[in-house]
Amino acid sequence: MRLRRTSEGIELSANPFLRRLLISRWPQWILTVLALAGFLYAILAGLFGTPVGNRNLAITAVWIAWWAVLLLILVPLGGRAWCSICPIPAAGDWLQRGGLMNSDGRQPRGLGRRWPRRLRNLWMQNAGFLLLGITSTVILTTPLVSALMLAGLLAMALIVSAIFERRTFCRYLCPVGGFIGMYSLAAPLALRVKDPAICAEHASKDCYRGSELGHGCPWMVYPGTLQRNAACGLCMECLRTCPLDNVALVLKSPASDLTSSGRKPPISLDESFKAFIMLGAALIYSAVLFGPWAEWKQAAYGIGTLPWFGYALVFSGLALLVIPALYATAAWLGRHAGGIKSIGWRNFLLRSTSGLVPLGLAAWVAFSLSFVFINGAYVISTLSDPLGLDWDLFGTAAVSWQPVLSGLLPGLQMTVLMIGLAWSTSVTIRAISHAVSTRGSRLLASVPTIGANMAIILILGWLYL
Amino acid sequence: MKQRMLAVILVAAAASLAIVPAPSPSDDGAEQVVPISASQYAFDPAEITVQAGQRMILEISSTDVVHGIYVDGYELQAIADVGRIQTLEFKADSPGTFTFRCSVTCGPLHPFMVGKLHVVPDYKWVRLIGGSALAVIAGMIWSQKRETQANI
Ligand code: SF4
Ligand SMILES: [Cu+2]
Repeated sequence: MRLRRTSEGIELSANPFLRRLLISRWPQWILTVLALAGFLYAILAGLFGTPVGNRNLAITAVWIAWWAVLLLILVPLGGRAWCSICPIPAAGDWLQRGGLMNSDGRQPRGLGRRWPRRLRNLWMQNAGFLLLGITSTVILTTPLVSALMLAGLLAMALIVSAIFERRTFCRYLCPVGGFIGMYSLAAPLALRVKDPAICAEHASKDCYRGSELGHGCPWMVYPGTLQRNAACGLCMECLRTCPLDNVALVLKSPASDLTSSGRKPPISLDESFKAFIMLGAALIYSAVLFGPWAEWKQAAYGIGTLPWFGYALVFSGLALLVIPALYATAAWLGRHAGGIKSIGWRNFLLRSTSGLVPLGLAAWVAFSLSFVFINGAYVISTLSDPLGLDWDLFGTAAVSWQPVLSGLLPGLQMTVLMIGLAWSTSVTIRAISHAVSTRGSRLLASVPTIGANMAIILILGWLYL
Repeated sequence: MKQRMLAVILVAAAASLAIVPAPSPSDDGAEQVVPISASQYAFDPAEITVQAGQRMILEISSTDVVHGIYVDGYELQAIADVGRIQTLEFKADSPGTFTFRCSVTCGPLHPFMVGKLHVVPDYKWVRLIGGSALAVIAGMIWSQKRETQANI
C-alpha cells in the first residue's frame, strides 16, 4: 500500500483504494444500516425478551459487545470513528437530506434552526452523562430500561434533527458523543486539510456549505481551520465535497491535539469537566460494580431509595467537587512552585488537566477489559437466544459462562493503567511547557498534577490488584 | 530515539513490577477452612485473606437461590446451593488478589456479585507505588524527547 507522509502525519486518503472506499457513500451507508438493524433488534429484545440482563441480547450486545469495541478499539485508535457509522442520528440525517442515499447537499430539509449560542458547549452532555451515570446500574442490568433508553435516544435524535440544523444532537446533546469527542483528542486518526492557505483562498467553501457532491459539514465544523479531533465526526463529507482535493484523513501522533502550541489551552473548561466526570465514573464503577462491597451495589441499583440518593451524592460529589478540587489545588500549587506569571491560573489549570484525557481513557480501557474477559461469553450465548426464550439460532445458546484468561486480567489492567500514567505525565508536561521557559520550573509546575494523576492510578490499582 | 527507547523500557518495567507475582513461600502444611455463604448479591465473607502456600477449603452454601462461585486466576468453580455445602479445595500458591464471582445467573446484579481472595504477602503497595513511580519517570523522559525534537 502506498501512503504519503505529510506534516500532519501519514495521509491515509492518499491511497487510491482507501480514498475510493472513503468517498463512496456505500461502505459507510451499509455499516450504518447494519448498526441500525442491530440497534433496533436490541430494542426489540429489550422490550419483549427476558428481564434477566445477561440472558438478553439488549444488554449483552450493547453493554458488553458494543461497549467493548467502542472503548477498547474504536475510541483509542479511531477517535470519533464510531460517530461516522452511528445509527442513532441516521434517521435524522435521512430526513434532513431528503432520502436514504441523497448525496446532493445544496438543499437541506427540516427547520434548520441554529442551536442557542449559550448551549454550544458540552455542559448539556456533562449533565446528561451524569444523569445516566447515577442510574446506570439499573440501565446496565435491566433489558427493558436499556431498550427504552436506546429508543429514547433514537427519538430524541430524530426530533432534534427535524428542528435544528445538521448534527446538533451529536455535538451538543448525545451523552456518548461528549466523551467520545473528548477522548478522541488522544486518537491518532484525524481529518485535516492539507494546506489551510488553499482553504482561505477558496471562496465557495463547499465543505461547509455543501454541494451537489455532498453535504455541508454535518458537525458544523469548518475543515479549513480544524486543529483538533473533538468536534469532527469523521463523516467524510468534506472529503467528498472539496473540489480542490485539499482534505485528508491522516494518521498522526496520538494526543498531539493536546500538546500543540498556542496561547489557548488545549482543552476548554467544559471539556475538563467532561474529563473529571469520566474519571469519577471510572473510579465509582470500578469500586461499586467490581468491588466486594454489596451495600454499594444495592444502593446504586435502588433508584429512588435513600441509599441511592447517598450513592448519587457520592458520585456527583466526586465528579463535580472532589476531583476538580484536587486538580485545581494541584494546578494552584504547581503555578506557584514553577513561578509562572505568563498565563493565568485558569489557563494553567486547563493545560495541566489535559493529561486527564489519556489518563481517563486508560482508566476506561482497564475497566472495560473486565467486561469482555469476564462476561464476553454471555454475548455468544445470547446471540443464539436473544430473548432468553430457549431458542438456539446459531447453536451457541448452550455456551456456558466462562471467564477468559481471568488470571491475566489484573495484569492487563495494570499494564494499561501504567501506560496511561506515563502518557498523561508526558502530555501534562508538554501542555504546560509552552507557558514555562526553563526545564526546572516546568518540572516543579507539573509535579503536583502528576502527583494527583498518580494518586488516581494508585486507587484504581488498589481496586484491580 | 534513545530517550524513546528508555521510556518504553521503563513503562514495561512499571507494568511488570505491578504484575509480577510476589515469591510464593514454601508449603507450611497449614490448612484454612472458610465457610462462605452466598446470597443475592454478596458473598459472606466478601474478602478472605490467606497466607500464601496454605491449603484452602472453601465451604460454600447459599441462603436464598442457587449461586455459584468462580475463583479468577485459580479457575476453580463450584455451585452454591441452599441447604447443601459444597467444598472447594485448593492450594493458595500464587500470591495476589483474586476476584471470586457468582457463576450462576441469580438476578439483575448477578454479574457484579463478587468477592476478593487476598493471598498474602503480595507486597501490593510496594509493587503499585514502585510501578507508578517508574511510569511517571518514563513519561517525564518521553516529554523531554518531544522537546528536543521540537527545538531542532
Ligand atoms: S472546499 Fe476544500 S479547499 Fe474549499 S474551504 Fe473547504 S476544505 Fe478548503
Ligand atoms: Cu449469585
